[in-house]
Amino acid sequence: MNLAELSVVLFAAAIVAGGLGSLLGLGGGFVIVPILTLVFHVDIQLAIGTSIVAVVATSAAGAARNVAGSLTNLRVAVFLAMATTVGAVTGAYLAGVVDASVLFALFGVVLCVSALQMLAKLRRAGPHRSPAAPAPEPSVAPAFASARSSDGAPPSEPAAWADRLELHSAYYDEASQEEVPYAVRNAGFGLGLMYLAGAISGLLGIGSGALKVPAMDLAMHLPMKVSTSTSNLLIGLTASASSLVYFARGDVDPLVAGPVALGMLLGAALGARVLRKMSSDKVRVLFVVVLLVVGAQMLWKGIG
Amino acid sequence: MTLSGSIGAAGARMPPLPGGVRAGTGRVLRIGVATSASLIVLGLAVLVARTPHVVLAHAVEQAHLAGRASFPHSLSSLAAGLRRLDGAAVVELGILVLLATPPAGLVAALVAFVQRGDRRFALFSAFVLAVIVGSAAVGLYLA
Repeated sequence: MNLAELSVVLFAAAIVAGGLGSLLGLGGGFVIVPILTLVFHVDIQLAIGTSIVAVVATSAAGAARNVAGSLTNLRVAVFLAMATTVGAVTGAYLAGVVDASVLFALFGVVLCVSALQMLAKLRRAGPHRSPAAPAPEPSVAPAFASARSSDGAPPSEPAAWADRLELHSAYYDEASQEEVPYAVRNAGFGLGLMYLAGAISGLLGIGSGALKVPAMDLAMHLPMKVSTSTSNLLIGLTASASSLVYFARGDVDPLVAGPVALGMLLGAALGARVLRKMSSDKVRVLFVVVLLVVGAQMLWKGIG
Repeated sequence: MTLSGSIGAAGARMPPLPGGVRAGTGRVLRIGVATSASLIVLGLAVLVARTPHVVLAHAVEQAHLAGRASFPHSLSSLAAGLRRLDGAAVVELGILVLLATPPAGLVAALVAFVQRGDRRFALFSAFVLAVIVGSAAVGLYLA
């Protein structure tokens, strides 16, 4: 194989990785890194540097489509980014101190448990419907008293932080052709989870969309499509802090990362378009499958 | 409730969603993505046009996969490569633009939050930017 042929193959693989990554709020590295290391035997540092570029490409292209629309909750993204970026710095600082294999195994277990919880939520909630508006509770911000959490349950408690920061929102679901209001819950707890997700990113040198999406979905009660779309923006911000370091160290080869970046940009743009039209349930099922695969990969890496 | 904000069923004023903030941020991200993609395509085209023997050589491919190839990865070597019209340097510039795109989008959000008088989220955005820039600066210093 020569560089021209390699570029075409990498470009094609990256389109698939970018599409999946953008659709599911993941960075696409979980597809690209195994392809680079196992199929092409790329030097591992180069593979990681390329993966970081791939994560940023997925984030930028996916978010470019969805942030102007209503799928990405920009306020939630900015709020949570405070925690993920500080977490990433903490994780990078602790790298080399903590045994990475233990973390990979732990991360693998967490991902598999999250996948099962998301599957259970899918079985409980059924198809997502636009909520009917109950009479507003005086203790709940009146503007969002009619907004249910993403599993259809009415708000169970005043969401103080989310109310004060006006994190609640709505999105237009092209799949069901209806506007779907939603209430954000447990904003403080979500912030803590995002710190952990960022720390794991920094410690293990991976994107942490696989943690961020379940955290937003299960803990903060954001609708699934909003969770993946908002995660898309978050992973780019988290990765951008370390990406320049990889670049300066010479770990971003233009003839490897260039075709990958192009493919990710195209794939992510297509994935963002598909996300708008796909039903939330299908996105959730696909995410659960990918989460189980990634979780198993992480467990294997930790134990093996 | 509509995405542009409205009066709710109970007569309470719904807070408007930051449509202007979203549009501005989305525009910057789209510009960054388009510029990056264009530079990468241009760089690869220059490489093929000027050094076809490099692109078609198996040994060169092996060197790149093994991490033994040399290419610009500092600002000075990048500038020198661009002056020489080196295709690899143009691709690296495109990748740099891509890496700067998410923070650029956040800058757009910060500006829009300031213009709207949303001091809280302007502060949040500024904090995130400070962490990103600070950690990149420390990392570059240590690299």
